[in-house]
Amino acid sequence: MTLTPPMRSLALLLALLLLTACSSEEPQHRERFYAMGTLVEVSILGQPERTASEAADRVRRLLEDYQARWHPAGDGELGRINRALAAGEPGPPASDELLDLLAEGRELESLTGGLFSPAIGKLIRLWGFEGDGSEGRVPEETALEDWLADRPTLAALRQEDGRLASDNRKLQLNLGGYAKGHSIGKAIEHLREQGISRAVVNVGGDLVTLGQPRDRRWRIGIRHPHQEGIIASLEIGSGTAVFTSGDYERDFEHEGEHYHHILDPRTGRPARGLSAATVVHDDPVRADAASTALMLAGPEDWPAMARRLGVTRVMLVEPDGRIHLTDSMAALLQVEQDPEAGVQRWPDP
Amino acid sequence: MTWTDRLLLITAVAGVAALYPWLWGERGGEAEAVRIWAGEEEYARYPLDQPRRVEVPGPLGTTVVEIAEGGARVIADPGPRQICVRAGRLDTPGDQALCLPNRVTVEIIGADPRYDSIHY
Repeated sequence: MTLTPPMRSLALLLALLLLTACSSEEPQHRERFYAMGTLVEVSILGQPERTASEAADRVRRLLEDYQARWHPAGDGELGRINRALAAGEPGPPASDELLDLLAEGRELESLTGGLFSPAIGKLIRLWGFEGDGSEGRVPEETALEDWLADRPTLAALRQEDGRLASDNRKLQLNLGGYAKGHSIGKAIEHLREQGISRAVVNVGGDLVTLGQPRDRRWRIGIRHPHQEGIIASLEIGSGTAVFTSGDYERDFEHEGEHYHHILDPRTGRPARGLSAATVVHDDPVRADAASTALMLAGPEDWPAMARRLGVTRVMLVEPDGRIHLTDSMAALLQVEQDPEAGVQRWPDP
Repeated sequence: MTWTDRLLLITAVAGVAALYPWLWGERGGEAEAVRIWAGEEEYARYPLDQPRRVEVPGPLGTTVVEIAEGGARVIADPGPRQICVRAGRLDTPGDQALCLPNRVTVEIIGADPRYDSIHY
């Protein structure tokens, strides 16, 4: 049998098409370790195992360094500054990196009308949420009222020759609302500098991507905040951060009531109205802070808050299971569990 | 174009159409095994077609994993938040449940995992 030239071309094209389907997935190196009080997974594609392992090890050292420096009550930089602030004294010289992050914190505090604030460390300590949440407790009412009377903000923090000081002794710094975003962002920068071009760094569920697999996007499963299974599947490309704040992360029950770690500086109590807020953004610090700010803004005010923070890709879950999706989030995401309460679509804020 | 050419053309196009969902469709292969991590070390790996209970030691106590009917689930954990117990049945390659602070992870493995990473 002799094929005519057009048929030969067609046969060749079909054969090539079949071959593309046979291309196997790239080898993936996944390193797992515990840092910053949670599980860290560094997944690296397309690198020899030794190169990937060494790169992941550097990420580990970087994250351990942040944990040591920025624990609010530790022996590192932030702990020493907090002890000085509580004593009404100027702290030891602060690093440029910390000062830059606090400058970003001031901007976020301003954009969110004070809802997001790295200055509420003492309130977080009163609730026992400073560590892994296992010491959660309802504070004395008088202690909350006392804190609210002098509610500290970063506006009360001044810088004197690289030292931080404040006249408000209740001002204690806690970077928990956005330091993870900063740390993962730096980890991604480290990987890129080491020649890694395709990776995901996942710290306690929050993650940032670098590059993407050869012939597709990254596939991310989002676990349901309160029920079994995956609530939604997300497909994202390079340089994308996915952060969630939820009422299930550090929480406790007391006299039949549920309390969690996302504290509203206006009331001194946990935010109410939403179970989880997921934000996808190019900037991991913005994604991290915005997920907290949207939880605090609640079901009524979140669109305005998202607009102020410049975030458009948002998924929210209400306590009854209802899912809210912005249009640009819906374009990336497939809901895997349709809730009885329904899925509501929103135009991008 | 001869009749043989036409026949070949029809066969080839039909073949590609039939194979499309399998070769280019949504990814997510069969779950093959469960891998259990204690801290940073792999503790055990079991096939999913043989039922068993696995007791995994951790810093807080014992986390119990049950394997049955092609999937795995954490049925008991000494941690206060029970997030890994609430994760329920795991049967999709790439899915996993993390028990903190007991530092036990249960992960479903298989060719062509559906997820690169789990967000929680």
